[in-house]
Amino acid sequence: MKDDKARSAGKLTRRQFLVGTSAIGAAMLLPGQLLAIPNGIPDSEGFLVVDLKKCQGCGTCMMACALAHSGVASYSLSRIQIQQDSFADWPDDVFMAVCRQCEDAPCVAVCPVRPTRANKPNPKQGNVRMIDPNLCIGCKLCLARCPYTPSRIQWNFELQKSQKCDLCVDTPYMEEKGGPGGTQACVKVCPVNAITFTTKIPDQGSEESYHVNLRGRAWSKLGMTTQ
Amino acid sequence: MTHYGYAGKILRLDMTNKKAIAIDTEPYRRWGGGHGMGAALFWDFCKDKSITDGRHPANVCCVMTSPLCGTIVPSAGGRCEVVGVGVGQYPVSWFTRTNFGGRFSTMLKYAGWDGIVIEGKADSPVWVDIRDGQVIFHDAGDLWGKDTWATQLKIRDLISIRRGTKTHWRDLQALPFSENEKPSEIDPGRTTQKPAILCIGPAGENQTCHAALIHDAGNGAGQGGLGAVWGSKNLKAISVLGTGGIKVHEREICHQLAEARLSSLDPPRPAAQPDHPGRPADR
Repeated sequence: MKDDKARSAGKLTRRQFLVGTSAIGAAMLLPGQLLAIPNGIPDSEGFLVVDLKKCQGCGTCMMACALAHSGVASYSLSRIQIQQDSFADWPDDVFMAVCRQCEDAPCVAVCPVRPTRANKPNPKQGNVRMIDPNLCIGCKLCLARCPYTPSRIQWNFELQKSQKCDLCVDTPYMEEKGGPGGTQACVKVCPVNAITFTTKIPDQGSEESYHVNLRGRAWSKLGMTTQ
Repeated sequence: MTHYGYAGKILRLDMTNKKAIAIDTEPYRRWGGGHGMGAALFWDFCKDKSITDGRHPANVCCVMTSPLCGTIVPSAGGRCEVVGVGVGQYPVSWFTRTNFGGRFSTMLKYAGWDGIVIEGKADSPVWVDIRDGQVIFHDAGDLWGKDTWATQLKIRDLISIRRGTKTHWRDLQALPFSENEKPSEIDPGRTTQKPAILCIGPAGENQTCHAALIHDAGNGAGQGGLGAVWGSKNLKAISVLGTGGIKVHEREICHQLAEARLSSLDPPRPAAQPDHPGRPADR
């Protein structure tokens, strides 16, 4: 009995070995975000923030987005999604789903294309999180990984690839230059200015930080609330 | 041939046989928008043009979009025209037109249809479910008698569309189908949107002459009593969910038009506007 104890103190038992190796294995397999290891990607130089109480749900931004990127007016190809429920009361009747250009973007981290990620921020384009259609293999991992509802990444069924908001960096059908420092189609066409561009990163911990108040004097002159 | 502005197909709903027929838009393009194309379609498909009551089974009701529908052209991009012989208080009713706004015309074009021609008369109440190229006739026994809001909410429930906003992307193929319909292989579209539903309420079912067609919460086509025409055809509602798109020829002009509207957002308020009597003076 004494001999057994002495032996186990000296080297690892079978149980200790298994527990130890599986813990190391799990740590290696888990995505970085769960263990709070930062992705190490630089912040985007621009963000879209929206006013949910100002949006009228006309869908102009969605059509303009699809027009600028794909050359067709469409809802399903739009990278900004406006959802409406006509039978809900204001302000819960409209929701503007706009890409947050997350600090630790899970869609970038999950992209399996190697060595260059298909979804990799390009420093020349203001580090906007954008998917390169030439590299995307259409695995839909980023689409499933986006933690927000609806997913801010769309499935382009014509190209069979994922697509997402790139702040209008890659807009073959828009004459003006897009991206941070340029114009964004949705910001440009919104009839009530309910979308705006900012270079200041909103609070990443809060879901509400991208919802701002854009209602000014002209709005109150129309008899509507600016609160 | 590339159609700019037009979706390229018009849907004929044969209510008598509960059949959907697709026809080409090309011969009707020369008539322009919803009013023109609708009138031309009425002329071609109405067998008996001597009818003087919209409730007659020979009447044809056309729900037509325009080439600007589904684009970002301000104001013009959302209207949908309805034409046909109306129902009036005067014994002799004539060919008439009405229109409504909302998302219906946009959704109809994204589903790939420039318009709907409603012919004949169903023997029992039906509602029509359009998902891109797929058209399904459903029995509307459960919907008959419901008002327009309850009808639309019920149809959303029937095709498993959740209430409220912040809903997931839905695959059109994943939506429930009736037992005898198989999902088509060629429509892999996804959407976050709610279906656009045009329906009638009890006024239309009872074929009263003021019956309107209602879409969403407050978009109505009330002129001419065409709700009664739908009621006479036993058509309760048409629901459209589209995932396609419309090719636009002058994309940049579209953006400029939208911007022009933006720059005129804060115009000087007219000093003296004629008010209707009874309106508070301080407003």
